[in-house]
Amino acid sequence: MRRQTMKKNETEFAQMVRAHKETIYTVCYMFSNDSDEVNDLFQEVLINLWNGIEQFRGESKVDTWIYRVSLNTCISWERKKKLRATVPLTMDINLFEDKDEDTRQIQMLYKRIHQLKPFDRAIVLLWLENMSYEEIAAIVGITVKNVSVRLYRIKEQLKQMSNL
Amino acid sequence: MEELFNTAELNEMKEQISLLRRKLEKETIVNEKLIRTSMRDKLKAVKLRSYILCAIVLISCPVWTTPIFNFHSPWFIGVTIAFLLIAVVYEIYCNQLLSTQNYITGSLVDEARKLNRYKQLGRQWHWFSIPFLCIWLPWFVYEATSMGGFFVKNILIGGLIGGTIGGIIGWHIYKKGQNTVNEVIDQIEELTEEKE
Repeated sequence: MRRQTMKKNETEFAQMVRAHKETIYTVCYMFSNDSDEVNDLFQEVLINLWNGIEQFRGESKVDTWIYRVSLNTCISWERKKKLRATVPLTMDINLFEDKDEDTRQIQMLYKRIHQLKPFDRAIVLLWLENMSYEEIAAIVGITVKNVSVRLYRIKEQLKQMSNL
Repeated sequence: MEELFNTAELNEMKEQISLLRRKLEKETIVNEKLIRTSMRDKLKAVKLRSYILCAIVLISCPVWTTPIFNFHSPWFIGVTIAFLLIAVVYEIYCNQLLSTQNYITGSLVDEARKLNRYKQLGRQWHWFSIPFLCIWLPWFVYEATSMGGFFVKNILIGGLIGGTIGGIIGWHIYKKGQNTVNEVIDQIEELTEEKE
């Protein structure tokens, strides 16, 4: 019985990770300095998701929960903490080094977001994913008003960056 | 407020993030091995490293009572072992803050606040450990030299080289870790002030 439950959990976990791989990757990418760090962070997020899957009882939406775990992992991440060997991600593209037009656009987005402080990075990422102020506030842990004030400041900062 | 964000740059960023998502959709990214490894890896890396360190320290305690260190007084041995045991207890206490359970329900601010507390405890430890080492090292040298003979020179040279290298590496690791989270800490303070 226990083995069956475990098996069911494992299958559900694998499905969930595959369904939300873009979200997890996007967050890890925006908080990393190179492809190796994306690999490390991605695996760290998966470990934390797996550790928390039993506690997650659907009180919030799955994608909100995945954002929360991914962002918390990235915020708390320290490269020196790495102790395990990382399994490489299965990807044909390298968003740090490829030179095609689409990747250049993505790199432009990366450069803008990466210049922001970690919390601002998190807020702007959630906003760019069309999350409501309420959802952003719930994930980040600040008030809705604070989200709106911060987004205003972030916008000003981004404007200044593009004027440079 | 929303209209304020509908600038060309931000719309462009929204298009770019959609582009990123479309590109990622075409990629496999997650393979079976990655999922298996992540599920198997229940143990937290930081805690594991810390517990290994604690185990080494605990194992080293009885070494101080062996004949290798018989030129030291019982007081010196006792104080050294006591210091090592206090360090282990403190490390275990600090590690409690690194529980990842909060990732599931806690907000970014809560998580970063815990990280801040962890770093603060790390800093506080230096207020105790550095003065202690300032006393311990001369004490060690004094007891070693009082023994006399050729052995003393070897102990002092070995201790000096090992201590210097260890100190530099340790300080470098500590500073690097501190700098990484200082940015986060600044932002928590900023966010907390705004909340108030």
